[in-house]
Amino acid sequence: MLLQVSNLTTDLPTREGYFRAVDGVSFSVQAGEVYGLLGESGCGKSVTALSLMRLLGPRARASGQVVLEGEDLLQLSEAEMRAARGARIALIPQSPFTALDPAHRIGDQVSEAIRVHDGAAGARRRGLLRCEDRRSVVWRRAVELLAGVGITEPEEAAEHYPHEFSGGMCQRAVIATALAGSPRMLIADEPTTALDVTVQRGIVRLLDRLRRELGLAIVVISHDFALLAEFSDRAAVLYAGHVVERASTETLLRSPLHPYTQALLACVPDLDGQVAPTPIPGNVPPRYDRLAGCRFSERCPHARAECRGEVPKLRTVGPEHSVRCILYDAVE
Amino acid sequence: MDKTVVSAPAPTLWRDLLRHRAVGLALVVVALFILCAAAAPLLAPHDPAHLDLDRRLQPPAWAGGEWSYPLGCDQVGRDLLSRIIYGARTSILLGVVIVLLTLVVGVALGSIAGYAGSVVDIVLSRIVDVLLAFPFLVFALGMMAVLGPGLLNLILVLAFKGWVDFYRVARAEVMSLKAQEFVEAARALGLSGTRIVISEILPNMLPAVTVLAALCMATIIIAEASLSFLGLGIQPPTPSWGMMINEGRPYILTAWWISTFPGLAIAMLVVAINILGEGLRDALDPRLKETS
Repeated sequence: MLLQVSNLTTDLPTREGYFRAVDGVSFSVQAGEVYGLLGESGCGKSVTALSLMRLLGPRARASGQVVLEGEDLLQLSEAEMRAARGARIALIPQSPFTALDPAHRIGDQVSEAIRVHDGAAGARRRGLLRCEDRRSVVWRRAVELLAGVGITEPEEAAEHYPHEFSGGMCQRAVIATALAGSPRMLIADEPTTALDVTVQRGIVRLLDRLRRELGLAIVVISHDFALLAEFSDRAAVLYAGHVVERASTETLLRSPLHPYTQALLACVPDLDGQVAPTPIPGNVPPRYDRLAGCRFSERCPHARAECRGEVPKLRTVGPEHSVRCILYDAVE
Repeated sequence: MDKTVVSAPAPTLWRDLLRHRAVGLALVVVALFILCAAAAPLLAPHDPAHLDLDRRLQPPAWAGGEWSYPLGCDQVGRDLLSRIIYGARTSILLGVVIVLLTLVVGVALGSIAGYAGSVVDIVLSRIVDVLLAFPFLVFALGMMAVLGPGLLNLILVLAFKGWVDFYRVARAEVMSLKAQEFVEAARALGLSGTRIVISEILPNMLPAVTVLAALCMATIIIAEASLSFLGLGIQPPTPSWGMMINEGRPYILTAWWISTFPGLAIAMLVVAINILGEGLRDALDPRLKETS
């Protein structure tokens, strides 16, 4: 396993004490695999992603284990973690427009990302090179990276500022900066949400190609079942900080067990027009860590009195398939 | 495959700046004053300190004076034009020195407070609040009265109060910029805090700081003139516009030119700097740039 997340629990500081946004999340990702984290907004997906990178600021508390290539990221010092970010595990943030600094050219931003990790070792190795030579070496590498993410005419594009780019181009540039430190592991936080549908497909293909060519493992965070269906191998469904179901994407699509997974699937429009998409009533409750029992019970069509008692256990119901719902407790 | 949408060459600052005629004019005026300041000994027709009691209160050339003294002479017969040209030197030199000083101090402290937050921010911001509680001119007057007039004291007093504006703008900019996603993205790439401030945050607050620098320059020129008018700033024989206005005050009904021309010089320079400041703001803001 390249990444093994076990029992990840994250508390975020709020005015009324700590809020347990992520509660005992576990999953694992193999090299070259695309793993999906699925759920509505406000259910803890992004907090999970930021916890993996330890980007939630000094006041947030994360416990559990995030083992990347045999090393627990949560145990690293801040300096060691900084060295790991970008070089071993990189993030593609949600919005491509705001993820790029408006004050610098695209090429300079990719160059900076290269220099951050190349800096220590690379400068010594290239110690003989003069300053301008090193700059042009880095610049050439930046152009290569831009070409690698499917930007046409990368030499010219590198000279441009982000506001001169379209959303899809920005997203490709963001991916290029994420790849600059040659990480093995990529976290893509809603990589296509801010984009046009036509462009989304291009980005999905790009990520899929990078996975195959570079052997990258990718954690894709999304609320879109259709996107995950397209290229993720396995996925975990998150609701209110809990993993409610975990299986291969195919299983989740064919035979979802948890009522929440079923409800999410019912939200996907059916092109045949046979079944109208059904929205899930209600919202993710804001302070969900205070709820007793199953956190989905308020919105669940199958809810019973027992649901509000204890939090159901995550039960294995099949090969690589677990679900957290009392409906399946009898199956054992 | 999605293509580049806009392929306009990066527009230069100058072209953006000169889009409006007023800004172009302001630029010319400011450049002219800077030229006066830089080349005062070459441009001034006479020694600004040379007294000539025969020419006492001599009116401007077109009002009955001589063309060798185009703007007339003051109450002790010194050439007004020469004194105004030398006065530009005082005003601009003082303005530039003070703005640079306050900019460096204010931006540095403001960035530290904005990025570090918590205790550092609270302590610095309270100090700033105390300074802000005093009206600028009253504070400067009081300080000058205590320290005594003189160039160094003038710089110290104006700078002591001036950095507060840069502090507030820098702090606010850093606080809003550090919440931006590209800063988080930079952290996700493994950049350190110092490096993020230098390469991501400072370039983005440059437009705001530049505009503020222009506006501060105007304020400082006025403050210097005010203090010199009251006799607490620049001391004779160094020519200063504020001092010249004061010297002409008793003669305002009989020899209007003594106070009027330095006053015009102040007004022109300050208005030009302000227009230039606004032009800079529009030109530097990448979001206001028309890409057509």
